[in-house]
Amino acid sequence: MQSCKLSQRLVTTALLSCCAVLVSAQDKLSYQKDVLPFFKNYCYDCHGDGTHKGDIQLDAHKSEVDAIADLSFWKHVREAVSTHVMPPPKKKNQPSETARTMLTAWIDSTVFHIDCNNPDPGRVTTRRLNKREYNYSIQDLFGISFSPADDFPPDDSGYGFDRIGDVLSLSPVLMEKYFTAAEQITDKAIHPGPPPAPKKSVSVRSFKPANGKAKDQPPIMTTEVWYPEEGTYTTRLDISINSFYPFKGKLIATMWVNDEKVATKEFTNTPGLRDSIQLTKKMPKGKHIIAYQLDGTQAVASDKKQKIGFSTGGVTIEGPSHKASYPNSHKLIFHRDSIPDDNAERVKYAREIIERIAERAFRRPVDNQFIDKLTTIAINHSQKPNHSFEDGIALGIQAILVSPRFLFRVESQPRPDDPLQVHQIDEYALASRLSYMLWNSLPDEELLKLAKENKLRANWDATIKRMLADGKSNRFQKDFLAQWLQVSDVETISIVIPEFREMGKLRSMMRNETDMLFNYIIDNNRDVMELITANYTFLNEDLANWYGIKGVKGVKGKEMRRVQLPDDSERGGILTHGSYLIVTSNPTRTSPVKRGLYVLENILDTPPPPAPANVPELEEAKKAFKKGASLRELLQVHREKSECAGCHARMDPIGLALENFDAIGRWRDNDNGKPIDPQGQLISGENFSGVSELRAILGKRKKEFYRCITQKLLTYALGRGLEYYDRCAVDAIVQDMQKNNGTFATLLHGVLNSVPFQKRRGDGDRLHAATTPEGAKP
Amino acid sequence: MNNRLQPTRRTFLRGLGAVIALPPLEIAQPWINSNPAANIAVGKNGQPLRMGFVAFPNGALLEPWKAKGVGSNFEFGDTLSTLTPHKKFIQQFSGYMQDMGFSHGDGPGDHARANATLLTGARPFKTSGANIKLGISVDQVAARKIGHLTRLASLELGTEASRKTGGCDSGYSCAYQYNISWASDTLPLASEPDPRQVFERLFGTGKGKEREQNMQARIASRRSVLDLVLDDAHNLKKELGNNDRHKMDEYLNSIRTIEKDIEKSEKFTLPTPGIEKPGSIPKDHGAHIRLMYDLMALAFHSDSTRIATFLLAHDGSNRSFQEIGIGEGHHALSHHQNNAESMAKIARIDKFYAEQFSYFLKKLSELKDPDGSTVLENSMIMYGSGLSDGNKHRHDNLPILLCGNGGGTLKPGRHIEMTDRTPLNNLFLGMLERMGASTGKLGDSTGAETQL
Repeated sequence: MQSCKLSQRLVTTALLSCCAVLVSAQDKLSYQKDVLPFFKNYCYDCHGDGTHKGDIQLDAHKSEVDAIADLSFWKHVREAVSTHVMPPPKKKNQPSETARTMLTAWIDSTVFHIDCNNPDPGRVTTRRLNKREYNYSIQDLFGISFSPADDFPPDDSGYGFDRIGDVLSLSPVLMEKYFTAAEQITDKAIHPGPPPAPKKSVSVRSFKPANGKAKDQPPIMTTEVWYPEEGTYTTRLDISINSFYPFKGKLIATMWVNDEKVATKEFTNTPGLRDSIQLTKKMPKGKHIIAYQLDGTQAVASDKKQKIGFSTGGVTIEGPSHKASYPNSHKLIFHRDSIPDDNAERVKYAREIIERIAERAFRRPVDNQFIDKLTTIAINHSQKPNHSFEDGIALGIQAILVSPRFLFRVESQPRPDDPLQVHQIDEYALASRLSYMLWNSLPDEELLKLAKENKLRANWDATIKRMLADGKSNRFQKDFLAQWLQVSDVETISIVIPEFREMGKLRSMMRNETDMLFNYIIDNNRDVMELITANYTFLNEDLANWYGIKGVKGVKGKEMRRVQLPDDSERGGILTHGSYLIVTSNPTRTSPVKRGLYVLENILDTPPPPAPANVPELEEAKKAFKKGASLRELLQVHREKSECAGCHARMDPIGLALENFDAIGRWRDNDNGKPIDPQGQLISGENFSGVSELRAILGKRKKEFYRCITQKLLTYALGRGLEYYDRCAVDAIVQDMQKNNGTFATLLHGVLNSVPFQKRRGDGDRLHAATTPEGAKP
Repeated sequence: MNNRLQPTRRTFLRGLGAVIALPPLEIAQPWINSNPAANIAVGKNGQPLRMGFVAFPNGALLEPWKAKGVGSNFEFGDTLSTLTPHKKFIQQFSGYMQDMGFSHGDGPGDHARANATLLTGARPFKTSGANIKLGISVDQVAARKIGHLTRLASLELGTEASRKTGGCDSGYSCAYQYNISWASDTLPLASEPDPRQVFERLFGTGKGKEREQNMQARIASRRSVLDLVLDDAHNLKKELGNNDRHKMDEYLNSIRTIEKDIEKSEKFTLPTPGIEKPGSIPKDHGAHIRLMYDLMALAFHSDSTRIATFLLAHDGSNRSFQEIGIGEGHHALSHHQNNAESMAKIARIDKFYAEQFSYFLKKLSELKDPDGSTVLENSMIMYGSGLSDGNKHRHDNLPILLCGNGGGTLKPGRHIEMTDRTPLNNLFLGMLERMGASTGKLGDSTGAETQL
């Protein structure tokens, strides 16, 4: 599982609540006076003065300059010290928090040159659209409801999200699917031939036998159909002979409209045939009677074991013909009323279409030469035998959809390989970052227009407001929550507890509960901390009953609604939601370890330190297990073994406090006949008697929670993992949230306005390209 | 969207039966014989030689997996007893290791590493995202060298259509934990879980003559697009930084593969499926696995490809097996802590996978090549896991089988005990030699296996 890794390194920095203290302190810090004494006091027992446990030797560098230049060395040191992996917890001689902070502050400023006044914005690897983004882009571009990416292979994820440029790869199989999808998309969006009349299907089920149930005669099936106005209609009966096997004799089909026989068709030995009988006629407005008869009595299958399938898919009514019109998706592509006859004018029209679609699809202006080439492909194709203008345009669009400029989000840069070249990304790139963040899709015309006029930054807040007001922003809220808190998994995860299976739609109710809480907090500008501490939740009757919530009256029916919980309720906040309780359980039982780990990683921003390089064999632990031991007793072993204690002393108490909730989200007082004991102590020392007190303790850890959600959202927004230099952006946003009651709006604007979102630099190793580090001077 | 006819599994298998009843597929012959380099990827009998790799997750309970006896005088343990009818086609190995699966200072993440190392023997660079690096996998080494001989260079099959959200194993990107086939150090090849899509890759879309027509129409229009986008991608690449150029290389390489596929499609006609198109993914897990095996068998038999991988589930998979009455998750059970009940259930899951594999071997033994020998005789199918003991996360003494006669180049019907800690990649080198795709070194190999 991905943790809030950045702050894992930064956690001690964060302990100093005021940045100013940090800045003034670091001026006075030095390698000789501060860093070396720290090493001598706390580390040399194992890693210096001739010892080098685990091949780590802190005094191996020849000089101060050499030492400072060894970036990976300091990265390790920083991580080990700030996460309390080193010195090992069992050592008595531990540095104070201030001492640890001193060390990390020195590393940040002297080794990594972190300068929040002039921060490194980092760089984002060109991102392939993920499956969701591909589907939404297509839907928004062509106005069709079609999800071709459902057939693509699953996207790999990194840092907990499936939006990471470095991880989203492109294999030949996927490329093949892009071609197929492009072909399917133009098939759906473009209507071949003349515009179709309105179409209505009359299902077989609406027909009733008119001549009773005469045994020797197949029934005549009739129904009444409403024709909405006077006009020319085509009324068609579709017939199919399904059998694969030959038959003797004949099958007879007849259709009548208003007692007038339209036609009778006879079929002799035509297995697998599809045919129809149709009438095209001017019809007055009103009800008309349609009837058909399928007579299979005069045919016998050659193979007597087989039946002849003789059936209809029903009747289709197309009309009135004067109301014929192209579907919207077609009209979106072909903006003129008709296709010109003149050849030069056709080329011009093709070019207009191609240019407009390419610009939308590529999310920036397209080179003229490239448009010319696309137009040529389209026109050449349209001039092939049996090909139309529309066929040509379809091919042109297919070429656009398999182009790297559509499939990848490319950001143009002045000096792409210069890591020191920091610049604001251009407004087209910014528009794309914004729309793939808030809509999971490409910019609409309005957004693209702003970028074109270079007015996006000037209209930044208004644009964000407009985009959030658009229903498409639900995609973002839902997707971010689904990936950050894994709530979508409740709909798919394996649960093998019989009572749960009988409860039909519980899974989606549980997902809705969490989604609705998140939306409510956003819409009402509440503190995001309420995700944990809310004293209300969202329920319908089934879910309230499932949870066994006492004292909540009037929750009737299927509609999910906000419900204020009684003061003594154990419920409230996601830690008591079915979504969380289930996705952190095994199929048949709870897993306190998973529940605890989830809280550390996704809520508290204190993920456990990395496990020791060589995980001790689980074998040894088993000796301590005795038959019939409770889960709490089993986990006790974890916390007693020193190698395990580092992590499990953090995770387990949280998970055990939630043991009153079973693996399917219900309240319970006993497990296996033994009473649940939910009390415990966090590693930071706070005692709690159960879930309510735990929730209250967690609710006070606002800063850690804000930091965690900030890092998650920034990762989501950027499409890359966070780096040491992103610390400045994260710190600033967290401070802002603290000042502004922790609203999501503050967080979102903080992320969208942050340096890494607004700027980028060229590729390459910045630290080694940097000028002589100041701290390197003796 | 899916209102097509959905044949039941029974009609599908009836279809497959029809294929078996037919004379050996003639489509297989023309290019086998017309190929001047006919001595590669063929067995001693001149028939096409196939290599397959089937991976099961979370290791195996070793006691019941172990063979009794060494050499040709051996018996399967209980887990593999279901394979007894095919014993003379099987080599069981003890002692192989994927050393790169061990932590080597990278901390936890054994499931991600088990998955990543199984077919590569390379050390996965520990990262959640940036700078993913592993190594090419054995199937893709073969695909590079002999992939041009068949319409599809290789086939990657799986069963997992959806993934858990969030991160993967202990700081490793999910790319490591979900992909066993790697086309290069950096490019994983996702496995296809949907039988309908595998079918369409093998046999095209449409019915009867439509299939070939659809194919030709598509080829014509794609061809006109390819040059354009290739050109444009080259231009684009010039504007990009190092990592982005690398992404564009993935694109360019994929486009070139499609070009090659188009060239191939002129050489090879689409094979006739002889079966109906499968519908959606079967609900029953065993049925799903068997259906994928059917398609793998058809792909081999029709000589659509000679190289395939099948990831039964990613390592660390916590799926439950209600088909055999096991509700607990596989991963959770695999940490059995010597609890007898859990161990029995793990053994049952191992056996379940073995039973499906036995079905596959049977299928291969019923399909005939042009000279009358069976596809199983002309195959080398590895079956194994990147973990041995799932409880302890061991990557040595891996449970590994090699099935088939390799077109007369293998001596199956034996249990072979390797020297402890022999790199599994040595086995792969031996297989590659037989495929005519020899390579000096692969991952941590130390030399081609000589005892096969």
